[in-house]
Amino acid sequence: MKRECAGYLDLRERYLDGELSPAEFARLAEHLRACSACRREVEAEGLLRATFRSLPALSCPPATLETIAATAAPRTGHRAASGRSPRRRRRLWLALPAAAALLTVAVMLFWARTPLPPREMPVPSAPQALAARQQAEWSLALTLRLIGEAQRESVADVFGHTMPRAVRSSLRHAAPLPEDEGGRG
Amino acid sequence: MKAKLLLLTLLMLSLLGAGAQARDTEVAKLPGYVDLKDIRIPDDAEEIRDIDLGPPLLKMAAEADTSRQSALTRVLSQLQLVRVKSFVFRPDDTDEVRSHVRDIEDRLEKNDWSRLIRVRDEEDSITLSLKYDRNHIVGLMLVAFSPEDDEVTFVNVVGDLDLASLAGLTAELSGVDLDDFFDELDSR
Repeated sequence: MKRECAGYLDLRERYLDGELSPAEFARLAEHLRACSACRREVEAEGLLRATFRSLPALSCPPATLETIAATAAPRTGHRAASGRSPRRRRRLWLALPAAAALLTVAVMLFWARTPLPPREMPVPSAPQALAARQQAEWSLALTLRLIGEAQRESVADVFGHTMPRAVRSSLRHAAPLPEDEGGRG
Repeated sequence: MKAKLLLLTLLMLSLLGAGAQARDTEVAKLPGYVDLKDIRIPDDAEEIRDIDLGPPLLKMAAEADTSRQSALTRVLSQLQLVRVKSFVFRPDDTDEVRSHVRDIEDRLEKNDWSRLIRVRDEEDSITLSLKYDRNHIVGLMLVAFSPEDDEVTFVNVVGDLDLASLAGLTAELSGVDLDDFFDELDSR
């Protein structure tokens, strides 16, 4: 990660939490426009958060909880009485990451088998949503403008030199050719 | 012992990383996606417009219209990606930009994209290509290259595209002043 990008980590986190002020959002948006790596990371993080949030809450059956409590109680008493040996401590340190790894695998398997929920983002503030909409609007407007330009030029290529002057003039009035407009916008 | 701990930790991290990566690359696996990452914007390029709206941002953009009535909202709600790379380059960089344009055209041809419009005026060209999945349009790629004006634009739109809906947007977006939009962006 670039040093400049590291300076935006806090803003990125707070953006995903929906906590940015309009001024902070404008600052972050300017950076994200210029930095595709950060933009992709923010999108991925947003998606990840939304996916985790959409997972159903798991509940443990009461009988299982009672069994665990009953099993743990005597052992806890034994440990309190005798202290923890270095060997047991090592086992515990090994068990913790192993349990975490198993939990991770379980979550990943559950995640992989669960159909994708509707994509959700943290509730965006009005300026965030409007900025995204404005960019989408601009992108599609540019696309349509270029398509229109290509269509007009292709029509001009086919008919431009064979049509009567009056028809050309009428067509130019209805759909100006790029040279009439002074070039592409 | 330390090695085992390290191994387990690495396993956990790689699993989490793989999960995030998988979600991130979902759009990249869609048939209408065209990878524009290799298109390097020259350091001395001007008027750079680099827009990358993935699914979360497009969802936000669609939901910004609470009435949900506009043609733009209906189109946005069907899209997965809107990617724009546009810039004005120095004449020295023309060959490099031309090679990017050719590379994209080659990839589109190899991946069975249909070329809908191609206009050439001396060296300038505009090419509109569509990707079909059965009878549906699932991708749009537009390349406008003008060595005369030292300008190039790449647009990739991915999603469930309906040309009639897109054409219907023309009226709604005809009032969008691109120059004003750029001025506003640049002034921020």
